[in-house]
Amino acid sequence: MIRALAWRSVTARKLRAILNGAGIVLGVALIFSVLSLSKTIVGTFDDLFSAVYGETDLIVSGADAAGTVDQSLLSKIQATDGVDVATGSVMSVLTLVKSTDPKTAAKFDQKQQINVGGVLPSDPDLSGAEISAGRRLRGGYEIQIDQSFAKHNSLKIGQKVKLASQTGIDSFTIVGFFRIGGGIDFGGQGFASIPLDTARKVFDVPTGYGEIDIAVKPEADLASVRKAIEGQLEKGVEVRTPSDVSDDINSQIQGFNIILYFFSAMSLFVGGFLILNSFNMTVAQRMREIGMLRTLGGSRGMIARMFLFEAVLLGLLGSVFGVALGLVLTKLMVALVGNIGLPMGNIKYPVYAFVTAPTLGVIATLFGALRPAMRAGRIPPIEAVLSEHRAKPLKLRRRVLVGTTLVGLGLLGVFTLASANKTPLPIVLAGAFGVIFLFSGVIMLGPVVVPVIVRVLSWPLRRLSPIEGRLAADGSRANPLRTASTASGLMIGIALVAAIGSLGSSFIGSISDDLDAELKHDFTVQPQNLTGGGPQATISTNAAEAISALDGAGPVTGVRLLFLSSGYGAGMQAYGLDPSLHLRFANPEYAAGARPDVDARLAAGEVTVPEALAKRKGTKVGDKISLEGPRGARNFTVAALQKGNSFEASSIVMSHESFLAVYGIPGYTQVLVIADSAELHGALGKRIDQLLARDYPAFESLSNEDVKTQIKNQINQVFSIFYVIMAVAILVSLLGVVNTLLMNVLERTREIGVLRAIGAVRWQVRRIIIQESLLLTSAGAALGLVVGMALGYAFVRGINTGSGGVGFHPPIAVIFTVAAMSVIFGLVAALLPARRAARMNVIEAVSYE
Amino acid sequence: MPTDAPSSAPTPSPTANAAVVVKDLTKTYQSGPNAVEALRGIDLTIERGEFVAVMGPSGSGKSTLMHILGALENATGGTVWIGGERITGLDDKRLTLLRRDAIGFIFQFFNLLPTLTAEENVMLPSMIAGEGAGKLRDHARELLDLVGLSERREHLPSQLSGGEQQRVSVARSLMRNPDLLLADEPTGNLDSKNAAAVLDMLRDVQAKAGHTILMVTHDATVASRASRVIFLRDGRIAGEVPGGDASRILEFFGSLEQD
Ligand SMILES: Nc1ncnc2c1ncn2[C@@H]1O[C@H](COP(=O)(O)OP(=O)(O)OP(=O)(O)O)[C@@H](O)[C@H]1O
Ligand SMILES: [Mg+2]
Repeated sequence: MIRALAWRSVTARKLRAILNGAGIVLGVALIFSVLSLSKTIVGTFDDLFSAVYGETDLIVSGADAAGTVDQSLLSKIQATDGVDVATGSVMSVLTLVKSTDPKTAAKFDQKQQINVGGVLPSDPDLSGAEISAGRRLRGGYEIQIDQSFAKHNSLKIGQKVKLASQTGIDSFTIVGFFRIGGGIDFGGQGFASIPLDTARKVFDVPTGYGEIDIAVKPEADLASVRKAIEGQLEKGVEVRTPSDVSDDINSQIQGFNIILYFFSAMSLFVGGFLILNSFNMTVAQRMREIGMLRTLGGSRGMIARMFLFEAVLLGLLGSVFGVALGLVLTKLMVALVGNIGLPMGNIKYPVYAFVTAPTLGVIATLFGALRPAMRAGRIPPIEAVLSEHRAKPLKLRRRVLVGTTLVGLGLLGVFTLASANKTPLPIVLAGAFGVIFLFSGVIMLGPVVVPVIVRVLSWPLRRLSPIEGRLAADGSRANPLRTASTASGLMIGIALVAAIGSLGSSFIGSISDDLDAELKHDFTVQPQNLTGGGPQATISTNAAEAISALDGAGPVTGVRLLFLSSGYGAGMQAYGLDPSLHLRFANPEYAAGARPDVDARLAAGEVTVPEALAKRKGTKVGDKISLEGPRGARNFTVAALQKGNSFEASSIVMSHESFLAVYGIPGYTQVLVIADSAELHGALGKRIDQLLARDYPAFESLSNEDVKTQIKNQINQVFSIFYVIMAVAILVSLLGVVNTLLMNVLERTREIGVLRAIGAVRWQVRRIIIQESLLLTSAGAALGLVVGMALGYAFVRGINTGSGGVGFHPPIAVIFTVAAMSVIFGLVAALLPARRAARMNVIEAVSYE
Repeated sequence: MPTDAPSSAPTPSPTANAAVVVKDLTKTYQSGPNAVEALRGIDLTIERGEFVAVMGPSGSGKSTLMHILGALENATGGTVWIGGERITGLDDKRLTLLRRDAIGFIFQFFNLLPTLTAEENVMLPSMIAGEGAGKLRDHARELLDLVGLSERREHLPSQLSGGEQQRVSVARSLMRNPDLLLADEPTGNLDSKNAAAVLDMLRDVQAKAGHTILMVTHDATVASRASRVIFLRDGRIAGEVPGGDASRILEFFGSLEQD
């Protein structure tokens, strides 16, 4: 009986059921694809590491997987009890040079990048590679390449290939192919090995090892060998198993995953919200019928169950289609993330995604349907005979009070998360609940705030078409609760877009500001894959020399950068520079109490520390701080505390010698170039480009404008995936707008009929619904922009308090795009309802009561 | 059909000065497999300035006739001229403009817009026609004065009694000064006192401004206020009686219902 009634209800309101279903489909598809996406990312790394590390039991390297460990460490490890084999290698990412024509060669192509390891040819191979053709390395400029990369680039054994490295272009003879991981493709990532001696020259790594790979004797106990090795390591050097390495990478990606999960959960939340509004409408519509059922003896529970059954039905159906759509959406997501530069292997659909996504879908549907169902259960039988149902008056005062409190708490939570330097679970939860509180607060305030927004926004409409504008505004005011919750659904999606946009524009804006204000150089030369995956490539000192020899080049200096994940400056970066050229390239500003002649002190092995970090750590000028790197831990005296927001000012600054001593990174991260005179700027730029294209195709030269554009593009690329997720949330909320408009049309059948009867043409009726739709979407967008920017502001202020370096910049482009889109959304959402209104049967509308 | 029924209206001539001319009008509703013939050939002429009442048993086609004359619905067959213009065969847009410019409608269920004040409801037809609000307001006030609601201008429909609402809707139907006023049971939802008031007003208006009025009613007393009464039965005109004498109307109506 209950089932029959529920089914009848679905079929009687087919369109609404379809809209609700579509909302669930989209939400479930998103959850499914995000789960699959993160599984694919993690799976790619797992495969990659198990393929690359093959028989390796332990790996010794710097904690940050950058820089090199001391060369003498290898023999110590080899002498350790239980160690069977230990091999040292150096690594870099090189670029396959297909042509040296400056026009075609210059542009970076991920598919041409290859991870090259320098290994001792006499060492046993501990990797999972099996030679599939040709022979092993002997020495000199020989190279072994993995099969799938060779195939991609149609390379043959015996052929000579040109590879661009930090030191320039070198020619290698291909002596063999190998297969790793049974020949799986890692999204175009290539692998190769060359003899260690050659690698030291090519990579410009005269001493040290990027990592030491260890195989333990079969009879030895892994844990105790590990202990024994650990005992010989300095701070900053680590011994890990291959699975530790992939776990570390995965935990780095975890943050990204959590954001993805959070955002897709928000979309599903919007889906639940859609259901909530929709079921509320259904309950309102069936008030009399429900009263009737109650008169006939239907119990409260039965009525509530009827609605919940309908919700389960909807949730299940939506979930099935959602998973189907999710399979497709995953491909899009994987492509987007691949674009950012993460290696992407075969798409993996985890089993749990097939369970989790539909379960969450049904839960969201039930969550949405619960309150309306309970409300329906409470409908008294008397409703059956009342001709008109009077809505309960809203408790505005309580709403304002609770809503404002939630908004305040929410912003505080977000601020707390952003300002934290470490992110233990409670703080992450504070942030997540902050966002949820903020949205809940705004939703509570909706019925108070949205009518005001609608009134303001309807003003131009009323000017433009007095009667249609008026009736459109009346329509959205008729049921403030419904209007507010519809606009709130849209608000959530838009707010997250605006919040991300605010973060993006604040990062971009702050970096641009710094570039404009503080940097004196004209060009930045850096590896083309600076932000790509894999070991960080560097620029050799000879490239810097070649550039400074160019006509028109003024001072040229190299800098070294490293993001620190452990030790004193964890979360900040280390910045190595040439103290004698420091003031030519920067305007450092020191807090009071700095020692005199900071640059001489830097040259003598002291460091400067960002003021904010020093405050947090209680460091004073003259104190000693300990920095850890692959070359061990070293103590440095603090010469000064640096103020300001520039990249340098938020780093621990030291001389190149100090940097090398701790981190063992041989090449420069960037080379900065100043033109001799302003007139020479353009000409110098061209010369640098030519030089790089001819001799160093792995590098690119960027003007300060280019740097800004590049940063902007990179940030936007990383954010693009969030925008896609939010687009789904917005789509779901637009279904809600359609739903509400349809309901409003239905409720205003008589009014619309009257208008038509006394002479309103179809187009005028359409215009009313379109304007009503525009009011809804633009109110949602306006609210979303304000809430999103508040969220972004809280976040940016938090980051600034925590680590400094960013100021809030409003996301102008996002604001205009959202404003324009909200108009398009409004027009699109109105299509169907406006059509219904215009096609309405006038006589039926006006004839009956 | 009673044999002693008066002959139906004279053969209409479209060019004549008539307000409404109907010739062989039929309307068939196709609902599923069975067709309902609501009108089976109506011939009718109403001269300008006439006040005609339409009576007939339930389901005889009164509303259907009104809807077609009011350009709310298309005829199945036959021809209709309103004010000399042939309306059968016009498209939705032309019909809508005709409703807007030449016809006033008064409904049984008042049909005022709930969010507009009495005055705004009266102004509505002109606002839809895109006329500027300034002059409209004065005209709307005059009309509200006419229907005796000067004090109720700012009230919303929900704040007015049924009779008051119907008077607002009369004022609204007069706003664009249409030649033809159509009223389908305008007093059907009112008590006799309010019904009489609304009817007095309609008569007044008709006498003063010379509107043509066609009104459906079930009430012989109401019908007796008209200049003539037309009877419908089974979608045909069953006869016609001059207005004024309620008992004669009642008698004729009784004879219709008996067969
Ligand atoms: N949309 C429709 N679809 C099918 N049949 C209809 C439709 N509208 C009216 N009818 C039928 O046409 C006939 C005439 O209906 P109409 O409403 O004109 O009667 P009426 O004389 O106004 O009756 P009442 O006095 O009850 O208002 C009736 O049999 C009715 O059932
Ligand atoms: Mg009728």
